[in-house]
Amino acid sequence: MNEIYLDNATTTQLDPWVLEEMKPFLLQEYAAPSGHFGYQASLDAKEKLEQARATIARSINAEPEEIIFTSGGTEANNLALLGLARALKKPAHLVTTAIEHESVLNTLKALKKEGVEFTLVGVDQNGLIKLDEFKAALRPETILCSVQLVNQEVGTIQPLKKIGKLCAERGIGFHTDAVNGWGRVGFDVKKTNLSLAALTAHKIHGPKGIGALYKRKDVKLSPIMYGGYNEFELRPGTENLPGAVGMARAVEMMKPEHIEHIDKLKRMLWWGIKKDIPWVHLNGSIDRGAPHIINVTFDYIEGESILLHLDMQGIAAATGSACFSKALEASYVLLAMGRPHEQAHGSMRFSFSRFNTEEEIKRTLDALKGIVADLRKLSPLTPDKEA
Amino acid sequence: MLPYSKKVIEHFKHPRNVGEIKDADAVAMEGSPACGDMLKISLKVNEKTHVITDIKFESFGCASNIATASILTEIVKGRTIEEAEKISWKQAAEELGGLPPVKMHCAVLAVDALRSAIEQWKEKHGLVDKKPTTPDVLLRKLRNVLNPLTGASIVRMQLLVNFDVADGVITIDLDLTPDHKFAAHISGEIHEKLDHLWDVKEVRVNFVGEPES
Repeated sequence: MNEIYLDNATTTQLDPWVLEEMKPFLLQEYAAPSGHFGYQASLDAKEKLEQARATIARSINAEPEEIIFTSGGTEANNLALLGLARALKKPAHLVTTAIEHESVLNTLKALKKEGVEFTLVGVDQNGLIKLDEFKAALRPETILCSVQLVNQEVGTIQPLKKIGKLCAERGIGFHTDAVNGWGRVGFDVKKTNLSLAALTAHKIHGPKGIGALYKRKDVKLSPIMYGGYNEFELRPGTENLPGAVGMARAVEMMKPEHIEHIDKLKRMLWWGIKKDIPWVHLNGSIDRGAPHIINVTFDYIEGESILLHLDMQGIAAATGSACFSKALEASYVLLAMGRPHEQAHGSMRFSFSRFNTEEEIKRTLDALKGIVADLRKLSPLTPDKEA
Repeated sequence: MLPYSKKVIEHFKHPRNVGEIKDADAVAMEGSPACGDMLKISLKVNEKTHVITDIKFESFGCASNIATASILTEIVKGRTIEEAEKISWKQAAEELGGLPPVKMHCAVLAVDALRSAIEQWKEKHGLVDKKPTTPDVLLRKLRNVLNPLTGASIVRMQLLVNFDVADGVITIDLDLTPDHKFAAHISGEIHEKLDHLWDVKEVRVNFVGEPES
């Protein structure tokens, strides 16, 4: 494992205290929580599962029976979009943004084959949804808008309250992929007029393999998997009780002082880069973005090379370069924000957690200075090699 | 585990022959930063012996890009241009201990940049004639466009179902679907190979493959 891990928007370290909370449900109290009339161990497990559900509900101001456990954020987004469209059984239209996570965009592409149309709304140079374009995209047959809380690559926080109000006024459902914001950027499903919201545990120091979908009581979904009658008959499969317990503990442990800490690290890295390295751009907004993500373009050089050199020095980060993508395409998020291809290729995302330290940021800055200078010496595009 | 051989990492960490020769006899630039990789090669060639006495490169690109350029400069330094232009991208990749299929195009770029520089030198010294772009030339130019999915040439894999050269307009039909994962990349590579030819006005690339049912 890398010594310095700055890829916390991808996944995070499991908090040791979360693991402690989960352990009994892996080792001694392993009974399945399904039964209402089961033996004692099963009833105890059910009670524990409902406690976890209530904790997670409280964190977003929902009711416990509005939380459906899933295997993670991707499944929650699938259940929200496929489940809603399939429950309606009529031609429908959805609206989303061009910078959503693939678990939203590719699910909508798959729905096209079932006759469901969708419109992608553009974003401005900071990654904020264009509200005029959004309003214009809404049609009489629009059933749902899906807008993420926080962007996974640049950290832009979308104005969900405004969007929720626009949807509510028109009787349109509203879903958010809150995976990269939950626990770090406050949101309230009632004040935001949300019908659906996807959550995941592993981005806030919980375990992988557990997430949840918030579904307002009156929203009707079809299941997307078939089996037993668990999770309000919407998500079959034996409940992942250790996961649910870990997820609840993880969100309880997200404290305001952690947010202050990661926000400080974020600013420290950005100001350090800006001070010491010429020809850099911030993709997104430092003050209005999520506290744990910054995305920086280093002009004239390419991201995979930066990433590999950082890796050789024990530092893990992410890039929007095509060379790093499975499809050899530059980050669609940065392109949608109007960045030219070469700036997307030279982009790096650094994302922080409460386990990162100021010392780590200093070491990262030192490493970056050397790496960027070396790669620029090598680049035919660098305007002034002496700089 | 990195997907790269030790030798790729070695050349990436310590690239050889970096920079630009100030009084170069030929300089060639291939690729573009928009595509994510770009290479500049400058040469010094002995007029009598045709030996490459010096070669330097600059790269905007990923690890494979830097490593293939670095090893290629090592291979050709001290050789004649006639020997150098025979080196294939496969040889360059093999010298590096292989590259992942998705990165093979980096070896192609390096070899292309070298060949462009050599061609330029030959043109300057009256050693080549301006040839019209015939279907044969076209196929030769496209031989090194790879499908990143397989790392194999689109010509060799018979993905060119139709092609036509008429009045400076080249039309190419590929047996790939428009939503093929690498459609944009392959189309970009084709344009890169053909757009600059002296007698080409327009290049049209069509994806005519039938979706699998």
